[in-house]
Amino acid sequence: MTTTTGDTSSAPSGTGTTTAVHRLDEFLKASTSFWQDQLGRWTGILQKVRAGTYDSTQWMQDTLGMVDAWIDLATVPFQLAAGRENPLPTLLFVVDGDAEFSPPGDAATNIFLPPGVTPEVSDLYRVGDDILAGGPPVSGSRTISSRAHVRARLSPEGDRVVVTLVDIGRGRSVREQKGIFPGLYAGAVFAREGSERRPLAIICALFEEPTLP
Amino acid sequence: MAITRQSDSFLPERDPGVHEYRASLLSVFLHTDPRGDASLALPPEMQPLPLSEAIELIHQLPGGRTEEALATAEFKLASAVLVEQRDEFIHHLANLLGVEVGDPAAFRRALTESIQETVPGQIPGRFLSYDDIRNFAYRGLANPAPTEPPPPTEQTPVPPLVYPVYPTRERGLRKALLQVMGLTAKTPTPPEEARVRSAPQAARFLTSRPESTVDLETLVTTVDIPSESRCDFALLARTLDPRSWGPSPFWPECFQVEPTPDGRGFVPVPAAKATLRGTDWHGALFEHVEWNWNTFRAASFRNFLNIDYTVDEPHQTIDMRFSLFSCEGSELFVVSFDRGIDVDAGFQTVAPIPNPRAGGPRFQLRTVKNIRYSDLLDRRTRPPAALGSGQILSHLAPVVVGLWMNELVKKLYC
Repeated sequence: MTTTTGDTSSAPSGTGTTTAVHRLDEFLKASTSFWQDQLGRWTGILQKVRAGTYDSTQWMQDTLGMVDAWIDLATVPFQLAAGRENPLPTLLFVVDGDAEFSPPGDAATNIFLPPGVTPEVSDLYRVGDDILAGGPPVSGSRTISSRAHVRARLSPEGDRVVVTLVDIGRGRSVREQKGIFPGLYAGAVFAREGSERRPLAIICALFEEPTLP
Repeated sequence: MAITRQSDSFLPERDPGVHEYRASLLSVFLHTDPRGDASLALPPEMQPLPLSEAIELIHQLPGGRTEEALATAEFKLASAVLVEQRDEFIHHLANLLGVEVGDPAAFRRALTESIQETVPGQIPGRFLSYDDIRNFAYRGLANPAPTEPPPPTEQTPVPPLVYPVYPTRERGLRKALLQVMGLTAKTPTPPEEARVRSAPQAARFLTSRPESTVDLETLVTTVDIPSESRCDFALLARTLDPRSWGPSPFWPECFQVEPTPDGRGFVPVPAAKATLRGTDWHGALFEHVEWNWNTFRAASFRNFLNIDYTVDEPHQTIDMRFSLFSCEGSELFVVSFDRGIDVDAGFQTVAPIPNPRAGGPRFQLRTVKNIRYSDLLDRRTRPPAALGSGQILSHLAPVVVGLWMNELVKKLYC
């Protein structure tokens, strides 16, 4: 269910920088965040040691955290050597005329998110409709409410985005009451970090004609 | 036979005898339904108990579970023999009842008469229906009005398993048969050769519509159970309230929920906020349904359902509609899945019978459930399984869902 959205390994980029500069830039960014993490961690440790509140449990957590950070830093050259960034996944759902619920579609996230960030979902817009046009739609609803019918979450490890379609309804009349008409719909899953919207996945959903009236 | 205790690490902890109760009844339902043959495709550790072992197990269930399981098995086997005219189950039914068969035709005739004579309000000479047999088998069960479940802290500790001695007491169908046939309880006779159905019998079977059907194109199973009840309307309203489905052997958890403020999930509705059982409510229900393949493997689903429960007391009608909001996961084959079912919709209606016969049923009920299991395979891993093998549960659905629905409707026979 996952499709790539293009290879980004070619150089130079549209901004005129070469691939080598781009990779050096990536390495510097990775190592900067690593040193920031180390500095913050050691500052905290020293403060607690001076206050006499540093215990073995805290020591274990800090040790594991530093090992994780070192491993992350060590893998950066390998990621750069692979010569490509993670593609933005596309999750395609094909919903037949009977299904009331679509089992989860999931894909590896293309970015690393800090803890506490939850994914958000846009409404699903029917492909081919003019969503900016006013007045009633030509045939059926143009959008499917994401709040009512789309659930997105991250896996417990935070490395996969998981999307389900819920409460779809069975039969033409039930689906129409819920604002779901046959057609191909598209939407976006993204994470809001401050004012930044970070794309996580593209949702495509093909709703087939209901078999029941 | 050796009974697997619930210390088995593959089984969730349940009240004594629950796993054995569910395993024996699934065996009865699978073996008496031609569509149960699909169970042959299940892995060896998921194979159901042989029917003879299941019947033996029923007689050894602890406490009141034997009575309940006997009633359900009696209904299913008697339906196979009398409604579907399947002689191959005569000796199993006799084994269950602990009576001798003798001449199978005489046995069936006596069985029919015993049911017709003991069910008040029946029209003599009419062919028995599933509902007639269900009414006879279940009417003796103690069906207390559903009450609010106690909080977990107030629940009594689980006592150890103590199994009663076989054979069972003389009650229900067995008692009626003994009275009509003048038989005495003896060791059941060995199985006899199944007789070939005669043409009139086969024709009669063709006119009896099965209670569950599966659409082989969409794999949606529809269970449609028409029934009649003598129960009091208030009792019906409380019993049919979806919140009364559990806790019970097949529904370990079942409670009303409401959406969280951010709309991302559900939380249980506080008891103080919920309406009384048997009154109108519209919202969502969490159900955890569980059954056993055999005495050492269980399976379960966890779903959120949309519920519209309407009780019209002045007109003595009830209308319950349900549909699937989402499936939160399932455990099958000792493996957890993030899917389980993708169709679960239906309704249950109650309407008064105009001018009911004296002693006869007062309400007409109809229970319809449509269900479809999700394909177990997402084909993202090798090696590829055979075509359609991920849909084995949908092929078994008429049997499994038929069992669940019988558990629900058997409370309606007073």
